[in-house]
Amino acid sequence: MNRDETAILGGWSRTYFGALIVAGVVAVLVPYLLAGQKQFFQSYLFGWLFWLCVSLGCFGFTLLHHVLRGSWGLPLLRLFEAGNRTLPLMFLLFLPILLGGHHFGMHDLYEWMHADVVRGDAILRQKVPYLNYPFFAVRFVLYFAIWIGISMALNRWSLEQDRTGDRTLADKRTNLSAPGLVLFFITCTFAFTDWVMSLEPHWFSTIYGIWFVVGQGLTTMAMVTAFVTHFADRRPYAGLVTPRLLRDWGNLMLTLTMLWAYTSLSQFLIIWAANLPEEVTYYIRRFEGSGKYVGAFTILCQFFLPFLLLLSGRTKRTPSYLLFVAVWILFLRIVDFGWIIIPAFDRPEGARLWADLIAFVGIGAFWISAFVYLLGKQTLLPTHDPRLHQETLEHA
Amino acid sequence: MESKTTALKPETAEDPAEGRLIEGNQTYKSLDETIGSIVLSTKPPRAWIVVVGLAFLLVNMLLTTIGYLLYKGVGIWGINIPSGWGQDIINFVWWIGIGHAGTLISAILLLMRQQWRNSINRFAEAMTIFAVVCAGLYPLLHTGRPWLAYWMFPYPNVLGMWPQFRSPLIWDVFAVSTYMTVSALFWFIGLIPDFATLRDRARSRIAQVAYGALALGWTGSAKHWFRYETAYLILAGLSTPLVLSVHTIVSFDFAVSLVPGFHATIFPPYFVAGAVFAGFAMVLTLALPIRALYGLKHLITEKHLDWMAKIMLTTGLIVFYGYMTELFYGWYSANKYEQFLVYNRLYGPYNYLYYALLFCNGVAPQILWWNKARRHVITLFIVSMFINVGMWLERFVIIPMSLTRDFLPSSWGYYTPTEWDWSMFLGTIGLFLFLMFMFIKFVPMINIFEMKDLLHKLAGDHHGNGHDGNGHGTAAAAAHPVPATVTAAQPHNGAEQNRSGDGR
Repeated sequence: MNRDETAILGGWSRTYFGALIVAGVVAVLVPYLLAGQKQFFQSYLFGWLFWLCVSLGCFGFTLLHHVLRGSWGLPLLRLFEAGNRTLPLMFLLFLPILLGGHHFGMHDLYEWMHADVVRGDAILRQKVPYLNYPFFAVRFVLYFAIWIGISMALNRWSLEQDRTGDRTLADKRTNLSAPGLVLFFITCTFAFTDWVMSLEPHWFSTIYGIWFVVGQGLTTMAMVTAFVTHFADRRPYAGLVTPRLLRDWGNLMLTLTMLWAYTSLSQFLIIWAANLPEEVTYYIRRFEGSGKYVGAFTILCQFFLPFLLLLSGRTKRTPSYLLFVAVWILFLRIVDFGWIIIPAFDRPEGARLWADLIAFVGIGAFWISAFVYLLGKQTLLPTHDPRLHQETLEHA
Repeated sequence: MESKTTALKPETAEDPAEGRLIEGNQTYKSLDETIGSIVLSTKPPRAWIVVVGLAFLLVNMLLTTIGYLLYKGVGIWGINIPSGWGQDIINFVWWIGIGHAGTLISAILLLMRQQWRNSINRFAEAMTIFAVVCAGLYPLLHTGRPWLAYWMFPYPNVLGMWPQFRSPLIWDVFAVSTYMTVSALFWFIGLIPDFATLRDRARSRIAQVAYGALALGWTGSAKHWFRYETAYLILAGLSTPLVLSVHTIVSFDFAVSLVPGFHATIFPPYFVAGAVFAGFAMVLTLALPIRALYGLKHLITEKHLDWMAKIMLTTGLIVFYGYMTELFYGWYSANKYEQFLVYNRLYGPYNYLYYALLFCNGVAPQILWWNKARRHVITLFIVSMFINVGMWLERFVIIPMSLTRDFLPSSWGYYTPTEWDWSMFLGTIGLFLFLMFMFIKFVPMINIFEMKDLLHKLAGDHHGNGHDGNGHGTAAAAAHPVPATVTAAQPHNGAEQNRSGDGR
């Protein structure tokens, strides 16, 4: 491995990782000690879901890149790959919830896990064939098996091509990624129905899967753009991060910002206009108290502000501006995620948000250490692609 | 930043392994002749006369239907209570959807710098306009008193009437009329340089005057090109949201209501994907025979077919995903009306249409996963026909199937289209074909100057001149043909070649 290529991660020694993991453990446990078991699992699930969405976003972009083979994805590919390599970690991190079964974890979070509640609720009774503990666990394992299986194959073929230069591997990746993308959409739809939609088990919405996939795409694109623009003048990105690529990334964030607004508005407008009691309660719960201000804040700051900034060519040309927009979107994604998920929990509006934030930081510490560790294990750029001129990199 | 070396190669349009965008020994002159002669030659091929004759008969049938409809009223159709929307709305949505391929190809693919759009965009844009014309007839006549249609516009009046802005049907008025205006403008502006080419090449006085008037005094000066490019890019920017907005609003016509089968949050993205799906199927349905008829295989190459097939496959999968989510969440909702909807689709009186829909849009397009099928003309044609039928069935499944069996069994009904429904539908197909074939006869159906530009770029790539693509062949390029052959202009970039242009 070229030492230079990972130099931007140079400061990350073993102690650094150790400290981060300890901090993560402490942060995850604090809500438990201060606010009790139920609150712990709620906050933990919130943190887990946010970071899982980043892993899945990276996985989705890996698939998309291998299908389209656009040059915009090349400098980002290794970031996407490191991101999807964290999926096994995310699998393990859900186990405390899953294995709790009827005693804790699942029991604290999901109303449909309570046999007495289900007995007295005609709607939940009908959902038992889908919403039951064994089937939920089987599906959980199945989703992760599919995701991890596909991502391992793609990552292996990508690294193998760096080593051997065998170009048939590129076709192999494309041939796996195209059906992989189809599977990705299907599994994500069911996964978020299981883990998030069923927190409010009476409610349903058919756009939900697409809404989440678009949201995680936006989070991930903002994150990798922030990473690359932050290191834009360091090797190996120096000289590679051209205005053209910056514009492409900016346009991708712009497109995803618009798609996020499109899917969010579609869902809201259709439910609001019909005003059916079984559906509209979802939004009523989210408009309670300060919720409506948070909602309005995301409309203004997650749609209008980045939208207007990203329309300008100047923003998309300048790494520092793009970095600002990306970080801004990331921050708003956390707020929006909170607005979507936290009202689903059984607790008073706006209570104990600090616990959610701490758990988010804790799981984030695990995720980031895994991501940086995995990123450092290979070159930051895929050397297999002839479009990345080696000589230019060496003479830059 | 700009001065630093780019480590990424500039995108190249051609991948030797994937086929070419222009085939054969083409020069600027040969392009002028191949495309221009279709318009300027006096004798159209026999097939053209046959199709136009047939289409003309159907147009007369349409006019007869409309005449009788205005005399008698909308009762001549099969619509009833509870199914107040029948073929009139099915066909409206069907035609509007078909138009979307044109806008996607001309606007979005232009912004994405996808060069493969060049030989099919003009054709698809024309299709958009004619499809919107056919679509517009339906809601207009469905109002029953089309002479009062201007009431739908918010103009200052003394009637004390104001449109109901909360109704998506009024949004439709704005969405569709904007769509028509922008598409027509986009199409016409794109045609100006080609009208000038035809003006310069026409031999008959009438053609010279007609094309001369349409060319708006185009001389091909640098200033003209500069303004043209700017205007075209602005229009592309304006058209892009239309690809999403028009069919989204059409989907709101259904989704904001309470009817099970209409009211689903997935509708907006699923309608948009369905529109693009239907549009590409119609482009192929028309382009494949016309390509054979006029010998345009060198310009609409296998690579174009492959790309269109890939887009059809992708959008088809999204549409199918929509059907499946409706089924799953219909059950998952545990709402009895939603669950009945699932039951009614699978076992109700129209269930055979639902299964036909699943076959046409869900199963048949899966053959496009195979490379060979995507380049095989007959397979593609058959798949496109399945999709044309499937997209019509989809709207039938959504509209009458939901309306005839909604909440109270006592108010259920049945919907059967009458002969006047069918004569109207066939009539609009006739109108569409008639307009399409008139377009083919009088307007260059492939963009001549964009093809020259593409030829120039491909040739420039080969000679390493680093052309940036702004050096268009002017309208007068035919006067001094540049022998730029593309056969020799394949770049050699190996297997990891950028297959998708740039994927933006």
